[in-house]
Amino acid sequence: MILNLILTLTLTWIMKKLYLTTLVVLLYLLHQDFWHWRVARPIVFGLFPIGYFYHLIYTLAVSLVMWLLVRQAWPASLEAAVEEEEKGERGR
Amino acid sequence: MIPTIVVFGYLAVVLYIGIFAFRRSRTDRPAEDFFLAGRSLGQVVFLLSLFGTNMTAFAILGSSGHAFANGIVTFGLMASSSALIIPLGMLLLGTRVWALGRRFGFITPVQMFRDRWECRHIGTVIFAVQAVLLVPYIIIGMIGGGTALGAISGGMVPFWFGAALVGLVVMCYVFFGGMRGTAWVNTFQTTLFLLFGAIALGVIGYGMGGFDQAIREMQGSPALSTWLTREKVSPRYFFSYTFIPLSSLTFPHITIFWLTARRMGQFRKTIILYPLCLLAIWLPATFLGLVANRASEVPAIARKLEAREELAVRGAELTAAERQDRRARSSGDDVLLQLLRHYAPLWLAGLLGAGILAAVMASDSQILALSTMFSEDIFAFYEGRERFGEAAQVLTGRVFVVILTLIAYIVAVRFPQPIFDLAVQYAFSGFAALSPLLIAALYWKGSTKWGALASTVWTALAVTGVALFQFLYPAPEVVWSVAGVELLARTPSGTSMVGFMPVVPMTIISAILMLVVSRLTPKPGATTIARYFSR
Repeated sequence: MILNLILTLTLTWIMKKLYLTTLVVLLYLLHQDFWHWRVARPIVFGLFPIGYFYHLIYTLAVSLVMWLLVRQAWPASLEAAVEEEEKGERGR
Repeated sequence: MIPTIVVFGYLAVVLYIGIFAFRRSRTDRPAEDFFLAGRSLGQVVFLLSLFGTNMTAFAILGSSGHAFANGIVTFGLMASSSALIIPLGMLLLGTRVWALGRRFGFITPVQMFRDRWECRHIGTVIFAVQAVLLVPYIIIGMIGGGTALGAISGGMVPFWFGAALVGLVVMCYVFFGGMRGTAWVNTFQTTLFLLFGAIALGVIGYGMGGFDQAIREMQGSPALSTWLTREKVSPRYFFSYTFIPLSSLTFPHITIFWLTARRMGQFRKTIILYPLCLLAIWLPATFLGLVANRASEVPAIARKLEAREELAVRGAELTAAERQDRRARSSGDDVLLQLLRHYAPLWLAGLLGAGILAAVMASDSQILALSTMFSEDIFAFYEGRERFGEAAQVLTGRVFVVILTLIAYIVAVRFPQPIFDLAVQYAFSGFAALSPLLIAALYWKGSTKWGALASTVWTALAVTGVALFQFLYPAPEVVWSVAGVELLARTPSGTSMVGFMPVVPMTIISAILMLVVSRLTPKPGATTIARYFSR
């Protein structure tokens, strides 16, 4: 039973890492939007050619992914290590 | 006259903030307080100041100038790629650097490298290369200051005086306020620019009779319709640019700034909000640069458009010197300021100009970083602190600020070049090529000091090689081609290697050298590795 639990937790951890890494790689690839290269239309809101508008939206999407990464992949152990050491120093 | 007075008033406020920060300094740990603001910056100052540190003359004047010359591609080239790479780097590298700095008391990246790889003089080599690469970035601030003040005052303030004034103000608040003064000034400046960016967009749009009209006219003009697409650069060039933001992670002023956060939690909001701040500044800067192509009623812009047209029509008939002259005359580094002067009411042009100047003055962080590195990595490391004390170390840092500002000023006045080119070709590419050092130090147990040395020496050689190549070959010229494929070419914006910017091979080879040389050389001791990778 313990082995099962360890296995499940390990798999969940790997899956989480995998999906977050995939998301970041996908985001990087989406930056290379060669398909809009030589076209200006449609002009969104009469102001932004499509190749421009795409990157404005892309930037918003990056912020959303960063929010997800901060929630899901925050290196809490680093923070804990610093706090632990500083607590130890104050105690001495 | 009015805009000039407003800008001068703004410079006085900035100076006051720096001196006020000086009065808040603590004397129990002078070095940490001067160089890192006592590792005590709160959330708002940390976010806005870190962002402001990255928003230099290059980001504001350079980006609008680039959009003026190349169209909509500018935003995707630098802004949206930075929006991904910089916050991601802060999450993966910044938090680790902060934690290590807090645990082991590091103030500079070189201190960390020396400790991590158990080296002494290799650290000095890394310092030297970083210092040499950072100087052009400081020069950009000076050039930007001179250009901005000249344009705001309608030519009343000459370039040499504008650059000197901006340099003097920056030098004073860095000298007195150290990191606290710099961070507070940056926070004030970033707030100003975030506010005024939107106002500038509205006022200029109204003055031009609506942006939709300008875009329609550009679409209808055969000469300008390509500005609404990305045809002016190739997809390879566009891809190359995604390597450039790596430099923003390895710039010493950024790495040092990461250490100023009071808590690691302050990275959270910074990481999430960073892309939005980028959007808020780069959207107005690039959009205004783009529509400036339809602002031929602005005399200074009309002259730029004429020079560009002459270059396009008669370029082949002109001599290399004439081509260089037309390129300089068509440079758009000041289009944003020209638009403001023409379309905004005088008092508002002054305020908006001050906002732009705010971004231009971001060279303060680089000056402080170099002074921090010199006093920590050289003065303190070679026993200056032990012999003369911590107060003498801070004094050395301050004297270094003065010397550095003077050198940067002299270079800026003697060699004024378009901001964008100077920044990208040397400082940005070089620091991007140094990124494998930071990544390997933080994530790879097997990395060694010899690997770090190989990457650093390679970066120095590559940057020198590119600079030399561009000096020897005037643009445009294909230097080496095989079967019709251009392998090496000199382009108006720099150098092209099989269509890629030099930053791509520079960074890849740097990473390979780190990997191969580290595999062949002895690793640091087990105790050192355990200190870095035990958690």
